[in-house]
This record gives sequence, structure tokens and C-alpha cells, in this order.
Amino acid sequence: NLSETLSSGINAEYGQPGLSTFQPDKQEDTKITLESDNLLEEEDSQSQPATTAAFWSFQFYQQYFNVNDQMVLERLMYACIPTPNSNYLEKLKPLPDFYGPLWVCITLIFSTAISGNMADFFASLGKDTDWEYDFKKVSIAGTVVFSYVTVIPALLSGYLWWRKSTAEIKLADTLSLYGYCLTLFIPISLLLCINYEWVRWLLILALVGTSGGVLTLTVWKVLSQEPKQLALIITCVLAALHVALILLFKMYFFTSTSTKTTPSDNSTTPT
Amino acid sequence: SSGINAEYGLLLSGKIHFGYIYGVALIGAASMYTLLNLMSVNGVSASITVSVLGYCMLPMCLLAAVAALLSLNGLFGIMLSIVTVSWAAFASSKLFVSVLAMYDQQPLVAYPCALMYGIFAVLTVF
Repeated sequence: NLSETLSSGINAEYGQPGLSTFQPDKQEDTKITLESDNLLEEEDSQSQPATTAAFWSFQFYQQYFNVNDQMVLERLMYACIPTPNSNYLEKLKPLPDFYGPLWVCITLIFSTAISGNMADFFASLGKDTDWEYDFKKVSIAGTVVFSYVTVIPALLSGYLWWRKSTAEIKLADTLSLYGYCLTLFIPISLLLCINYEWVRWLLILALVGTSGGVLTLTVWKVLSQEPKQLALIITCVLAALHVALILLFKMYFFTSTSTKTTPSDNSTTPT
Repeated sequence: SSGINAEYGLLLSGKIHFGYIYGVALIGAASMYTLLNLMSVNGVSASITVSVLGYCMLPMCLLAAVAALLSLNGLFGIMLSIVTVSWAAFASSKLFVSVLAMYDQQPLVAYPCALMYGIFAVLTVF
């Protein structure tokens, strides 16, 4: 099932100049993947879910939680691998969901807070100071993650709307994209509590490559209809913001005043 | 009532953080209620949510009781906590899924339950 979608998804994208509007053959793909009866009940056609409910009503948000576990798993996995040929947004259409991004963000907040505290704990092992759990880390992680995942997609989709881009990207799509791009942050943040500086920078590099890669490639495809220079500038800005977020994580949560630089180094050295 | 049992267990082990338990339980129940109503076709009432979450708190009561007797620091404590949280999350998600006929979404329901019970476990063990 998964390989079907994979091959048909990549074949459908191959040879298309940039992001096209929603195509009938894609409906076949989504019909195969969507096993849940929920979805076929709720939407009468397989096109983009058009709920006429207003955005302040509950029904409006319900359409964004219509996912089954296979879809969520697939979206999470694809967010970890930058593929030059396909566009991550193709995986999200026609059904961007908020379940994945919401839980990725919440998990990330917890994993960062826990891991950051563990990193501090390891750093304090050699010293005599008492170690206390720092609850501030949770609130700071929460603020940073949630504002990144809401503000930047809002700016991006607002820009596309203002330019009347034909790429049919709505706010829900960009929110989902950014939420899923943070998937790899979770295991990396847990691994970042390892107390060796070179390990941490290696992990950061991997994170920039994969998560940044997925995001940049997708944004680049999304902006394919803008004038080249403008698209390039915007893509670079968004990529730089992503890298800044990653570095911020590293600097704030995982820099301790004493980290071991070599495995045999038992005494604490200030960095 | 399971929540109250959990608190007695904690009291026995010397930790008096009742306020946290009430807070986490309230926020957890409200969040599950919202999430389940968003994810399911039929709605779910608040009383069902609270009942299911409360009943599946039973493994956490056991964990709190064990915490009163043994020290749960160290590897054994962590493993026991993980098993207990998984058990509670699995049971509650199974109940929710059968009540709401959301059969292909069970892992998606289990995950928030696991997070909530995990927070309870952290309050219990540490």
C-alpha cells in the first residue's frame, strides 16, 4: 500500500514543471491510501475538503483531524527525507491535517525540556553544585516552537495569497508542512543530551540537512511561479530562519558550561 | 475514584503534590475531550471521556503503590513506569476506539493518552 503510493506519487510528480493544480489521477492515489470510512463519508468528492462551516465553528477544525494512523505515519516518514524530485506538499494534499503537527510540537516541547535538563544534569555530574529541574525550559521551548510553527507559515501563506499565486497553497497547508518538518527535531533533541560536543554538532548538521532540506525543497517548489530572484531570496530567508531555530535549540538547551571534548577527558573544562 | 487512590498512594510514598494531580487530570481530560470530538465522526460526551480516563488510571494506582513500597529510582523504576504507562494508554485507547468506532485511529488516540499517563508517572516516580 505504501509502496503503491510512493511509486505513483513520484511518477505523478516526475516531469511536471513546478506545482500544478489538483489533478484527477491524484484522486486515485488518495482513494487507495484512505481506508477510513470517515473520510469517504465526510467528503462527497475526493477534491479538497470544502466545508462550508465558518472558521470559528467546531466543524471547520474537524476536517483537519480526519487522518488514520497510516496517513500520519507516512507523513511523518516523508518529512524526514529530503527528496529533490517530489514536493512534500503533494503528500499533504488534499487533506492537510493538524493532528500530526500538533503532536509533533507538543512532543518536541517535552523532549527538548527533558533532554535539556538531562544535559544539564550530566554536565553537573562532575561538579558539587546541586542540580534542580528547570521548569522554565518547558515554557520557553513551548513558546519558541509554537510561535515558529504558527507565525512563519502564516507569513508564507499570506505572501502567496497577496501575490495571488496559482499554487493553491492555503494556511492549513503551510501549517501542516512546518509542523511535520519538525519531526526529526524530536529524536535529535533526545540524542542531544549526550555530553560530547562533537556529537552534538554532528547531530545538528544532520538535522539541518534533513529537516532544512525538506523544508527548503518544498518551499522552492511552492514558489516556482514567482520571479526567480524573489523566490530565491524568500527560500533563503526561510531556510536561514530554520537553521536559526536549530542553532537556537542547541545554544539555549544544550550548551553546558562543561562538556567533555574527548572521551578520556575526565576533568571538566570550560567551553 | 482511581485518581483519589493514586493520591493516597502518593501520600504513602511521601510526596504531597495533590494540586498537580488535579491540574494534570483536568487539563488531560479536557484535552482528550477536545481531541476526540475533533477526530471522530460522532461526538463524545465529557462524562465518557472522564470515565474512561479515570478507569484506566488503575495501573497508575498500582505504580504509585509500588512507589510507596520500593524505591523507583534506577532502571527498574523506569521500566516499570514505561510498562504501566503503555498498559494504561493501550487500555484507554482501546475503550475510546470501540466507543467511537475509530478503529484505524487507535495509535493516534493512544499517543495523547500515553503522554497524559506519562506525566502522571513522572509525578509518581520522581
